Amino acid sequence: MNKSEIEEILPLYFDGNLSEKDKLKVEVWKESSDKNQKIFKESEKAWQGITLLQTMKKYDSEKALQQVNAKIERQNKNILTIIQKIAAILILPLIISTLYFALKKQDISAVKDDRLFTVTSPAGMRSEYILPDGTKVYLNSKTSLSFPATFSGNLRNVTLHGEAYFEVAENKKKPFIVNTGKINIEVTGTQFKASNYSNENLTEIVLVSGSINLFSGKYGKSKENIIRLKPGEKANYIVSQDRISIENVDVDKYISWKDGILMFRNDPMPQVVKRLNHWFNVDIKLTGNDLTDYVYTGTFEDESLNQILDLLKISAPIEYKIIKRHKKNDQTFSKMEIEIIQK
Amino acid sequence: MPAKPNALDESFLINGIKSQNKIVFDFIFHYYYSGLCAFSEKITGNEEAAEDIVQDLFVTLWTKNEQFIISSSLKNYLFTSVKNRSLDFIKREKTKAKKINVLANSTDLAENLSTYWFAESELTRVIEDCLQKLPPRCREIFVLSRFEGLKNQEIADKLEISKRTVELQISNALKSLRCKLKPFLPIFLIYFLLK
Repeated sequence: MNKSEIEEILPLYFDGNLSEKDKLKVEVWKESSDKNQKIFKESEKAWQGITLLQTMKKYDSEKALQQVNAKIERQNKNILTIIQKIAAILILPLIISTLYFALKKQDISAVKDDRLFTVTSPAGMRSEYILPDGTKVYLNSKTSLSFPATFSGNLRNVTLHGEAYFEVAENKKKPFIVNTGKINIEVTGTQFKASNYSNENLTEIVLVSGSINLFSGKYGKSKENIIRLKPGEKANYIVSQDRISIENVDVDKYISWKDGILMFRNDPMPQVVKRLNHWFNVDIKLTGNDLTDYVYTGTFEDESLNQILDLLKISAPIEYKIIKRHKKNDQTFSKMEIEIIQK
Repeated sequence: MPAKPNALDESFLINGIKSQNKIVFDFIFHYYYSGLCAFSEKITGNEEAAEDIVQDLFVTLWTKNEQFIISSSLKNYLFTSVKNRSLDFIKREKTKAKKINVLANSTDLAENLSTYWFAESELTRVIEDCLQKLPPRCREIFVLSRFEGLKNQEIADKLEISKRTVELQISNALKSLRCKLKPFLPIFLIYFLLK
């Protein structure tokens, strides 16, 4: 078989479409000379080159690039979600703690600090404070209030000596307890005034709004409930007799002092004198038994003691005189003493 | 010898990938994609797997761009990576154990790669140049046979000629191509390494 005849069937040979007989022919021809071998090799390579190109043409690089772009985007998204997850995990405690403190903004009980603080209002002065839980307290003349630096634990305990008006920050989980001595007050959130001046043998509690429980003993096991006050009610506890009475009152009269207003509403003269004594830190003495029957009504805001006494003089048959101050043994001057005399 | 792909500025391409230059990336992708797929298909015998392997390689190339280290040429890197990934694929498939042995022996694969073309665009150019020089009838029959995938009998029916004429024309084309492709033939050597 000559060269051209063989070359004619080479494509079929490479495609494997030749009969065994013809295949053998090609192989014999290929082995018969170096030249034939070379032609065969070159033909085979050319054929395979064509086949390779054919294989390559199957692949659409445009379409594939779109797929690759989509895969890259998906992966970037995954990386982003992982980062987001990590960020969320890291930020979670921050959010929780922020929420915790934001929701309990007045309750900084996370930090326990049991040191007791005492705030006082000197004689003749009034002052106001905000307690660690946000409760607002007005202290009247000669009053002291003790409270811890933080209200840790389940209670908000304060101790009162004197007269104070409370606007208790609401926290039902942490009752606000005012220790006034024998009678104590339990509050969750309300407005009331309490007084227990030690020289008066009387504890007064006036409720403006909300509700309060009066109890004796320690809050907890030994607690003995006495009464639940309603708004507008006033509890009078006479210490020496261990007796309590409740009455309905005009609450304004009892709390106006917090706004710097001195208010009398049909108050008997001894009551008026007592209040003036506290207000101005003076010592007024009533002479004459009949004066106790006089009742007095009036509202004072910026008036001085002298102006008030002059006004009292107009509405009641009285005269007053200021007793000269004397030097005490410790070189301090005595309180201003005033005597009110029945005319 | 024709221009080799290392005529492309390799360092420009490599830096382009490292700096996530999408134009460079797209260029490299189009340039090598079909060649790499054909190469992977030759190893795996699986067209779909070949595309997945090559696409994943490019995804990695883009996303892990900073860790991308090229010791020889970019083309060498791409083909070696595809080879390794394709071998991993068949190891996983465990279907073509024989082929692994054959390939494991062809250790000079990577070294040889650098001297051959494997880009469709270049191969196309060379082959199409040759085809242009064939007589029109001969070229038509050859294209139908090789690129349209028609069987000889189908071509004969279509063109209303004898099957014998078809076979003759194809062999003429091959003869012509063989002579014209001679200077480029080392290009295809890689194909036989894999055969």
